[in-house]
Amino acid sequence: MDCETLLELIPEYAFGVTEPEQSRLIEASLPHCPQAAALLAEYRTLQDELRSGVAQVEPSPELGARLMTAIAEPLPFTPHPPAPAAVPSAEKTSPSKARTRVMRLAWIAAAAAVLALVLTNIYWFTRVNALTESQAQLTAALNAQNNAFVLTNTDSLRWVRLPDSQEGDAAAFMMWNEQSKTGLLYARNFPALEPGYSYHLWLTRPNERVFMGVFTVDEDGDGALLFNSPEPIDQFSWAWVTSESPNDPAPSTTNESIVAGELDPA
Amino acid sequence: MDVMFSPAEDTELMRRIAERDQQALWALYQEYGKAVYSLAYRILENTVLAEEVTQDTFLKVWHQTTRWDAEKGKLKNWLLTIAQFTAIDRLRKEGRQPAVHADPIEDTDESLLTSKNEARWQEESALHMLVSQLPEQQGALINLAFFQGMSHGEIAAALHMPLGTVKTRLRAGLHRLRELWVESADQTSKQ
Repeated sequence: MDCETLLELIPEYAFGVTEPEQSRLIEASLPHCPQAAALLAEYRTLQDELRSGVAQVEPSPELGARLMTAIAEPLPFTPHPPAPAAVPSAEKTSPSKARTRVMRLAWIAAAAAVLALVLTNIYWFTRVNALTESQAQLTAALNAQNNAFVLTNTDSLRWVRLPDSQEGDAAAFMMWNEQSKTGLLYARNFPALEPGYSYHLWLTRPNERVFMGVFTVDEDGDGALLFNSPEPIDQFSWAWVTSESPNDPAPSTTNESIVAGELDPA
Repeated sequence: MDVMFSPAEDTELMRRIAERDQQALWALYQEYGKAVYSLAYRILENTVLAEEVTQDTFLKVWHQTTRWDAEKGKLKNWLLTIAQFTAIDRLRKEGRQPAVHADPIEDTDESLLTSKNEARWQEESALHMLVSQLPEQQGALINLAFFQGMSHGEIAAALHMPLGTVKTRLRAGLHRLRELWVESADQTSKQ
């Protein structure tokens, strides 16, 4: 699915009204269209505000107590036989018969208590199963929130500007959250690519160079890359972008960088 | 106004809940219980069902049937998402129909609103006000899709509206809502 079509469908996808097959196509295409991923993140934030912006209504005071009762550990069951029934003075009952009556009442009370406990357990077992059944749907829905959602949390946002290595007009901006492994690179005024070539992003630290991803640019030289690092981005010290040929057996860094810069948070 | 825990406090709270600290769950309920209940009530419009959904939401957290990832968003948003899906799921299981008037499409926006009183609309956030002000029943369609979990086909059937019209107006409404929301945020930041 091309990026333009994807952008058109993002609002409906975010609100869960796309057909299942459409949703699968969208999810498969999102990693290749950072603009759509960023738009989806905006709609997720909008939805957060819709949820939290409803009129606030106070629940009953007992709700909290019921919740805590539901999670409390069950007390051990200790049957308490009832007190012996009073015997009219006019009647005389043998000790063995009285004992039998007491035992019978005790067993009845014990059986009733056990039945109540079993019914209660069945009820909560059924409730937990019902909750578990809905877990699959909920997990699938939550997992649909892609990595772009990370960047909506601006509390610990970091960004750097990568200037042109050849003193030209090219530049790139890289953003990531503190301790995050997900980042966004936005390229501006990059040179047009030769047919089949692409730009590669690299992050480096002492004795290690890690390939982060591939992107292209449009006719204005603008492009974007949403990438995932195997380690928190904070652990790297430099970022640079090269132009690579598809005929290379493996991504390399023999080509000169287009932009490069130190990952010193702004 | 709710005073939210900081991200670090949320993380600590969830760590304690994972260790079966009941006091931590109580603290979580005290902090976010009203917001969860309010959203459930907004969807279900029934106090008993809303309370059950609220309890189910916190039980899911307690039983760790779903896990919060701090990198993916704030704890409150995660809780409210669980509450929303749980409430919609309950709405479907109850076989309840949303309070929607099945009027012809020529009717005005008011005919498609639920039976909420005006006071409630005024209590809702500015974003909800933007939704209510969208033209051509777009706001009502957004509410049905988001708060009732209805598909295009279900909305079309409920409103006796052509499916194509539902798709077109809902898409236009979502685009317009985002534009208004961004404009509103820009104006707020300039003040």
